[in-house]
Amino acid sequence: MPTKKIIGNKKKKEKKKLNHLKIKSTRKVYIPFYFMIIIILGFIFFIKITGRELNKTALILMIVFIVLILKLTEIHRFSNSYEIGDSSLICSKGILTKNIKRIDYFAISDINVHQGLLQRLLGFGDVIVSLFSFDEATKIKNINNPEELALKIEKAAIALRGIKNDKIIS
Amino acid sequence: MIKSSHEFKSYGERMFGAKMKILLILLFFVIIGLLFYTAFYNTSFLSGDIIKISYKNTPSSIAINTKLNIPEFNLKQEIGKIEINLIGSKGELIFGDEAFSLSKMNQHYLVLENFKGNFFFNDDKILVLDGKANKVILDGFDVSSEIGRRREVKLTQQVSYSSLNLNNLFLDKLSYPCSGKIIFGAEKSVLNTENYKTLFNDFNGSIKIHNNEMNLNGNVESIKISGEESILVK
Repeated sequence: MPTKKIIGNKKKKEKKKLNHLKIKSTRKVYIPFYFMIIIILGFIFFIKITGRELNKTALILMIVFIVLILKLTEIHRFSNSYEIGDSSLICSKGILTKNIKRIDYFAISDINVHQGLLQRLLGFGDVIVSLFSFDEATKIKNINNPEELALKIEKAAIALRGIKNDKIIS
Repeated sequence: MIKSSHEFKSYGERMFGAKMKILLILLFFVIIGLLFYTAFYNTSFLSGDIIKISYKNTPSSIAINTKLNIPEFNLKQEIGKIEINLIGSKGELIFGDEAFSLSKMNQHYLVLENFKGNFFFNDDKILVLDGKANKVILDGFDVSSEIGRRREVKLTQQVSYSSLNLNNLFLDKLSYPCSGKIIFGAEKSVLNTENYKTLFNDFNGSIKIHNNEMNLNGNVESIKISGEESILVK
């Protein structure tokens, strides 16, 4: 049946998408800085509606401040990306110069989730991936729903180990 | 404690590091402080006009003190402080939403601080006073209710005056047929003019008008007197 085939292809695509899940840091981490912009704009609005004088120097500084925050936060966000692949977790850093690290699921010993107070309140956090071969760990910083991501990595690792074990047994 | 092995710091991480975050927080407080201070206490602080005046007050400028006839002034600008002794008063002084009658007494002493707007006057009358000011003092009473806020100020009618002081004033050009004395520096050189067209370039200082005499006290970039012979003082 052609309809079944289409549904089957969609499922395959979704599965493939899940296997190659790309993740970026959340913008929630920059909320304190966005809040600063809102405070400044609110203050300027108050100055305008009350008919007070708006200082030119402060206005120039404010524009520089807003541009700096928007530019720096976006550069910061785009410089880190993570990908959950079929057999490994790929951490890439940098925009112009790239540093890509592949963590094989076989090498993962532990997966920890860390959330500070603000992170817990806003629903994001860090996923810390520990390896058998090193005492150190790889930190996936400021991710939305870190527990869900940790679970996905764990599932991917378990699935891969299951396939390999089956191969060894056979 | 788990250490991170991914030690490579990307451009974004280096740019948005701890130092930059501290710098941004400091910048935020500087902007808020500056906005707060200038909005509530001193509106002219670090404004473009102050910078302009200080720029014009270069070492090459000449200190002058004059005793001259009074031309008709049509000023459309900022003036640091205006003091006027109004006589034979009529009409009203409007400041913000309030109106103060000037007809109750024959004389009034009016002070405007950080005035910005139109101020036209001649040797006898205030022709137009329409603008905004931070502080208004009428007969010794401060009628400005809110500190720092610039509100509209206006004279509804032309009013005569006996004396007038304009402080913290910058005029890029003042040109009229002058009669009187121009004293340079510490009274070492005196120039007498008799109805010669005189151009004062970039005057920065105060103007005092009293007894039909105008005293320009401050600095000028140059003075050009066009008479039978032209004189340029630089």
